[in-house]
Amino acid sequence: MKSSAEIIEEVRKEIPEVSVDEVKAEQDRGEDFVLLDVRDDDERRAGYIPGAVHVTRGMLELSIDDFVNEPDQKIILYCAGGVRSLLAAKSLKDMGYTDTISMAGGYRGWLTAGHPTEQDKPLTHEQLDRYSRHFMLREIGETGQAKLFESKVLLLGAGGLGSPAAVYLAAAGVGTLGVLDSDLVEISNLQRQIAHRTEAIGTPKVQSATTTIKSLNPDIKVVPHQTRLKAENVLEIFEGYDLIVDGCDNFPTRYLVNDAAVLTNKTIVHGSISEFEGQVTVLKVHEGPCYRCLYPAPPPPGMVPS
Amino acid sequence: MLPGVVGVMMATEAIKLLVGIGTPLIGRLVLYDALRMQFRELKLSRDSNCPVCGDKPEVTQLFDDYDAWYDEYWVDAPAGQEAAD
Repeated sequence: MKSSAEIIEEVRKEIPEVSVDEVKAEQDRGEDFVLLDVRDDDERRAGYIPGAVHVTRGMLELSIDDFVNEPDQKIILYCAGGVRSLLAAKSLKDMGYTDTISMAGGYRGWLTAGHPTEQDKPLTHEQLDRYSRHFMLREIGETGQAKLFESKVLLLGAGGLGSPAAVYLAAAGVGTLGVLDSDLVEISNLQRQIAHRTEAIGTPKVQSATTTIKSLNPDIKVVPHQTRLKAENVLEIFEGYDLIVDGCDNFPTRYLVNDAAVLTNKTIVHGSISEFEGQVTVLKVHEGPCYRCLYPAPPPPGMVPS
Repeated sequence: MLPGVVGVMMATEAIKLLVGIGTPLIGRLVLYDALRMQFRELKLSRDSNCPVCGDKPEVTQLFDDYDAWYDEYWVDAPAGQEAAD
């Protein structure tokens, strides 16, 4: 039987190691490599190296192909002190990855050297449970969830489109939801506007939507805007948000939203419906068309928007 | 039912943009026909002559009143001009 020290010594002969300073320098030069954090979830919660992807050592062989597609891709692995990453690099090499390197000194060495780190916003036990299905999706994980918590989304309209969007964004844990609508809940809304309940008839939609969002997910901060969007207020309202979800129901407002989004460089998630048809697109300034690129002229009066 | 489908598609795009994953629906329009239960996709491109987001934008600040702009648009429109569709 071999001791752990013997195994480590054998692996060291096969797997190259680099210092934390070399890894930092390679990052600064923009070199092409995957930096792979193989520590456990709780270790990563305490902080990680910016740009590192995370696969625990336990899931390494099963999940590596989610992050690395080419067998000759350079992979630098790190753990807390530099031993687990060495063994993990050996496992990857045995799988056929040809350029696997271990960062000597690990995350502790990185910290000691004073290099920058990042930390996700700490989650409560309840949040770890609530979003546990997100954490199973490697594209989201705790880092993605932290991004959602810090995000501020403005929903234009709490009607047919805004209602389901608000409910799902709240459930998913988007930290701040602005809800803009000037209307009161009517009984004829309830057949489709699922953010509102029968007992909310006659109350402002923003208030009703706030109640629904808060009861679904108390973590969410809701900012009610009980107003109509106008040229005078749109820029000020948009300022506080990262993203605009536009489910508004009239053409003048759509053009106003578009122009304001282009001027303030905000992305719009646009949706509209008419009878049994719906359409969705994302309008991102300069990366794709804006609403006026698609519809330079508004439709003639009499067309019914939704 | 239809607004739910479209609203949840919008929420999905929002989440992708916020987390920075997947391929966002930029430059593409998804059309959903509930009666046929069909999805279609149109490619959309930016208009470099667009008065708002084009290379030489003419609109560099908001109009004063979008309701009035909309109400008056077709009143003064040149004869024969059709709405873009």
